[in-house]
Amino acid sequence: MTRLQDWVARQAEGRPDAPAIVFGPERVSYGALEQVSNQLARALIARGCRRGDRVALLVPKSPRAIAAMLGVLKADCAYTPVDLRNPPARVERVLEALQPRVVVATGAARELLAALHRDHRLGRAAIAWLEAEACDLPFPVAFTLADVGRSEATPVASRNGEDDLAHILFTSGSTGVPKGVTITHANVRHFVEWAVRYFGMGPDDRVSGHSPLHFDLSTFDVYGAFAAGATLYPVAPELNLLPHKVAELIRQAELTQWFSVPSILLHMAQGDAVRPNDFPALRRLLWCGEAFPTRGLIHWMTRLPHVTFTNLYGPTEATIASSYYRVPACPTSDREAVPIGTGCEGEELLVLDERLDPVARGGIGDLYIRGVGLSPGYWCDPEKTRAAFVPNPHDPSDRLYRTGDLARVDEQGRIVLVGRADSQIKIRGYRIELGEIEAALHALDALCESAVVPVATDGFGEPALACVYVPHRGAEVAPAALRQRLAELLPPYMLPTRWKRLERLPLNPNGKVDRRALRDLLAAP
Amino acid sequence: MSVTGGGARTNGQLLHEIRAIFVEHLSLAVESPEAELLQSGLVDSVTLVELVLSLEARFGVSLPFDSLEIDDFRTLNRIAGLIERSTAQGS
Repeated sequence: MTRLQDWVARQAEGRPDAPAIVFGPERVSYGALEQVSNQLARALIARGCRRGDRVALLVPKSPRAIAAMLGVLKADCAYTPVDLRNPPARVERVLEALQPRVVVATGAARELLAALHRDHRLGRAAIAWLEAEACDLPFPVAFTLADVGRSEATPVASRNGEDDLAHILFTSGSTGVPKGVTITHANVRHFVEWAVRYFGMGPDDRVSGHSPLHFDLSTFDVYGAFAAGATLYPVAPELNLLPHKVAELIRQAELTQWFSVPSILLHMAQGDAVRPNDFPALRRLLWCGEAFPTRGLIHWMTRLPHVTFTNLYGPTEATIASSYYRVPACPTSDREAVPIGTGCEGEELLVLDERLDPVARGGIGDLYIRGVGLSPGYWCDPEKTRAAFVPNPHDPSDRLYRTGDLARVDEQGRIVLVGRADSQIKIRGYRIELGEIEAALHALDALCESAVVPVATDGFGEPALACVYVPHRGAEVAPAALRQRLAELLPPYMLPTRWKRLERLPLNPNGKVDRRALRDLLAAP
Repeated sequence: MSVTGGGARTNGQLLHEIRAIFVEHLSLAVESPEAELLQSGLVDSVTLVELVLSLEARFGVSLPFDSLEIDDFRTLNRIAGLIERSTAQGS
């Protein structure tokens, strides 16, 4: 049995001085990471955390945040990293669903916590303040970093097993309420052990930590590095703004592995940040979260002939990734689709029809996943769980996860994605339910009607969110004001960047909003 | 060299015009010259590209990506400083 915290404990025992995390000037050894997380676990247990409790993490990406994740696991609890850029209203909904015993926070969450405390939205959760100073805070704290430092640093006798929840990650929900995907230790272990073996990761690896910690991909960054005894280099989110800064980090840190959503890779291609034969230490580049437009992939592969390129695919509900495809050679045409490949060890991808029977090779069907990565379900939502995780008609003890993606199997037996069966889209790797944005728009009283559609942009093919709206008669509504009000309800990546005012929305013969007509309208110059 | 550079503008005019770019091109209402733009997520990688292109067009300056620093975009005041420096270099 391996629980996620056990990988760090093993490294701390055998190679305590080896670097676990390098973050700017900060360097944390496996020994130090083990000790701090032990201390935090003891502080959490002393505050009443028990097996099965949830702990919300309001801590920006940093070694401290990762130590907090491990501390929570050692206290037999599950953690939820919360995106600090979320407006208080959305954080409130997550906390309400989660009912955490403790909220772990640092200075960056001060304003957010103050707002939640003022509105009595923290429930019974105690605040663990991971800063040395706690003067003049507008909310009470249960313990501080100084208290953590006074706790004993010896290992905690954790009782959690592989089937206990390790974390709950919240994604966009179509009805306007974020969904919590529950993930067990075993879910993560299966993928990580396979990936470490398949990619040949080891202690000399220096791996990127590009994804935010509330995002499923980061699970592999963190635990892949720790399982391999490698060094994790978390990438500060601000670096994403300037592509040449990201390139500089890969060069200077001599990263051997890069894993991210394709959008930052496209951004770097557009900014011409990658030179021919750049990043000599880099061995492998992996992406996940959405399709990497072939034009962008060609840009990267022609510049880095010494690197292997692998497409990983999988929704959060099936843990990190369920299939892989190592691109054998640089595609020769922009129009060549990159397959998502075949199932990782212990995972199977199935293209099925509406009766859950296999579709003939080449035919399009719904993509289902079965196997060891499948989440137990959505947090406290049996209805959504039943709808997405269905019994396998060929084996009643087995479950299938319906991804919502449409796919076909090509001549080589590899899966190729062809689109979505619903209105979920991906922007910069974030899963976005258009319904969640529209629910927020409907809550604004200035608007009579509104709809959100993805529209193509110039360059490498990243879509933008466009909102069309019809104000109430006589109401004066400026896009900047609408965006500002929407920002009180939604995280920044869900905010439309293009706005168009209409007198009425076009309808199709069924009386529904005609989204194709809207897209055509928005594409017109 | 630059005919529409920020040199002839007062700092207040410059800020006013940058603020207008945020409203017109990015649909963003920035509340004050010192409001934090990056950590809040108001400006992300996509909007930054649009912002830089709009700034180049409006002020007739050249802002090559590999010369930019993240700190230049933290607040409207910092952006105004960037434009002033770029104008001085270009003229």
